[in-house]
Amino acid sequence: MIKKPTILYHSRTGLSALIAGLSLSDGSFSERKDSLPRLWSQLKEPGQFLAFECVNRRVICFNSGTAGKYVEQLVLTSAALWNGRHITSRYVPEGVLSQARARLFCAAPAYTWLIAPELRWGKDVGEWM
Amino acid sequence: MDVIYCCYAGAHTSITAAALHVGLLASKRNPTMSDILALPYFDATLQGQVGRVFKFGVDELGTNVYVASLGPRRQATLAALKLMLQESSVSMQNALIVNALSCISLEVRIGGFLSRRLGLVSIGRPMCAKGIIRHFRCFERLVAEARRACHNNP
Repeated sequence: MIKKPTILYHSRTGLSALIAGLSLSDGSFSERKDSLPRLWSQLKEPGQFLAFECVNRRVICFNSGTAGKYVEQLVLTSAALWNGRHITSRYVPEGVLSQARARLFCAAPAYTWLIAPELRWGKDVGEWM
Repeated sequence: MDVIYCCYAGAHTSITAAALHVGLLASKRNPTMSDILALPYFDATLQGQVGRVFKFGVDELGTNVYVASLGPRRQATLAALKLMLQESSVSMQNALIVNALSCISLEVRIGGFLSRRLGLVSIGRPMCAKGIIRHFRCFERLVAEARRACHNNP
């Protein structure tokens, strides 16, 4: 059975991973912005993840906390062992400023402007600063 | 069935448990220092290898035995391991994750730190082996439980 290509985005707070994942979804910017606080509330603790289907791939957004490099290594080695070559992982770095804004946004999810720039730049999945 | 023994660095406790499971160490008999030091991968993990999973061997029933090093933030890495099993061809019913850190002693902790972190292998490695020999009963119980679970779910 051929499995759908799967991308695992992971980041320190999970927020930029979620933004990267959402950037692959078909929704408009405002739809993505509206769903972000609700989805991110399910990614608060390290180890929590969200998975959703896109047209031709499966996306997993993972909160790796401070264990980003270990999660990366684990995904790489276990994919090779257990026939998981359809899974690729990508660590999305988060800067100090973005983490501060993420915490503020967590405390006050109504202020979506706190994370709006990242959401807009999500398509590039570049460094999230 | 797959059994995955997990610990911090995949260098001491998980290697001992995996070796006991595949029969490289005899149960019901305390190993000697040289038995422990001769184990493959024992005290051999490098700093950049923490987080890896590798196959250690196969037991007499055909159970695949793996070793996973989960590093210092187990909450995230353990979840990632379960996620990878779920996403790969292995179902969680056919995989058993065993926490080998439950058998760790202070000697192994200190010895592991000296050997792997500070590079003082000549002091740290024998200290780890001594700690493992002293707590060998714990490893026997842990592996016996894992084997029982494998028998119940072949």
